Amino acid sequence: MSLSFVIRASNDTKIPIEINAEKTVLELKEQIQSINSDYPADRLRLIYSGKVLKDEQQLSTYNIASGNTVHLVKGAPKAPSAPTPAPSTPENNGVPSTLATGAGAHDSLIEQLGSTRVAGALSQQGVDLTSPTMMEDLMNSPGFSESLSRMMSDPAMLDQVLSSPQFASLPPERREHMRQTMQSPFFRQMMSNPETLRMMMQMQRSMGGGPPGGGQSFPPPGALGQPPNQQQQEEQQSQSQENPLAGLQNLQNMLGGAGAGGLGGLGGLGGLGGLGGLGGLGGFGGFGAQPQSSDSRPPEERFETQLSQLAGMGFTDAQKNIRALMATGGDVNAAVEYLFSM
Amino acid sequence: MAGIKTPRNFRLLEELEKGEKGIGDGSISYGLSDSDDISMTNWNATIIGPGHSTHENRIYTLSVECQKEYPTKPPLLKFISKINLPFVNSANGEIDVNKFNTIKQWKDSYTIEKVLLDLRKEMAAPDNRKLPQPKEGEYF
Repeated sequence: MSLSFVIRASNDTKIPIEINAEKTVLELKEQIQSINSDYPADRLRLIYSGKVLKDEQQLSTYNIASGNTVHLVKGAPKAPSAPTPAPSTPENNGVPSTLATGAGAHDSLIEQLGSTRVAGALSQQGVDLTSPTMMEDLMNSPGFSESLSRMMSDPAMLDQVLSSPQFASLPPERREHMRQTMQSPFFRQMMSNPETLRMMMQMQRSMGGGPPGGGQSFPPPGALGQPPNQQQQEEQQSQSQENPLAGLQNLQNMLGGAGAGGLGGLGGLGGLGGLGGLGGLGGFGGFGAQPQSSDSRPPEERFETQLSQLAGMGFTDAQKNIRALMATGGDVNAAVEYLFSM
Repeated sequence: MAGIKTPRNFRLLEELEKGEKGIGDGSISYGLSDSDDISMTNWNATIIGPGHSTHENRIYTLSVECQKEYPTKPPLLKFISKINLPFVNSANGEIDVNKFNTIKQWKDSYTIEKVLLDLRKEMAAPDNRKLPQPKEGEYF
């Protein structure tokens, strides 16, 4: 008897399957691998109707009816030696789990960058927020740096950023100092020059030694989502007098704070921290501060209401919806626009 | 609408169909333990651990028992995979009825799907997502 059903992976990839019911689960996995090499048989786990399918079982055991869905989960690569050691939990080394997994870090990056305005503008410019080369694209996008420098030179906008909760706790002199920095021609020139931004990124990468080795000059990874504290900033302030590069970190830190992301905590990715902050700036501070807050719940939960709204509008692809909501910081209208533009 | 009782088997058949077709992104799944069980009492369920937590990439299996009074009365749930959560009995995997709100404040409009999704939410809750977990592949 031949079965036909759909394999559905967590990223919503669907693989239609035609297979003899006498075949084993392992043979099914091999068939999946032959259709799509992204799914190596030895890393696949299949779930149907609340059961994890066992390799040695025949498919007929599970009574998979035509048209039904078998869920696929791709596990971590198998360790060469059996028995497998306990998976080290992200907390073991002090790296937040968002950073410990590639996908997580990527998502959170999108999130950090996410403000309605920036996301909208970017998608118009053909920058795909979900692409791994997003940063590159961003750098190369002509409109991005231009609009940034425009924002920087608008005093009203700076006011708004500086009066956001992240900065409210700082003494007025410090805020004034920040304003001056942001308004300084050097800063603006730097921000408006993609080349400089890129250099900053590279510099950060080579100095930071990769995550999580950012060391003192970066907010510790755990501080993601918290504004850099004052003491830290002061520390960096003093560093900056001795070390010209520390100035950049200071700047990045500050921007990270502006975006409320404190993405500077990404360590090796430090340079992006600056941009994470800019995402916040693009959202006019107050807005930028919101979507990230220190919310550590998974996006499905955080955007629960928005997701159900989107579903109600007929956007049924949960993964895409989540991506859109992350890119827009949870703004349903902007997410809809984003979904249409995809 | 109050007072109208949902016929148990109607409801469960509906839930079964939904479960077999596949729900959402596959983060949860459920179906009958024995597809010949016409009473639709014993169910299997899986929850894929939410990301950004110690449950990430793990598959938890549970047993769900829908008694005669379902959906007036909540189903009985038990983790088969070992898990460390404040509302799960660490000796046998049973979910403590009084510590898990979805069951504690059960409504007959709730479904197996709802319970599983809420469990998954609990796993990702700030208080729970970093709890140390037993090795994967251990069972109660």
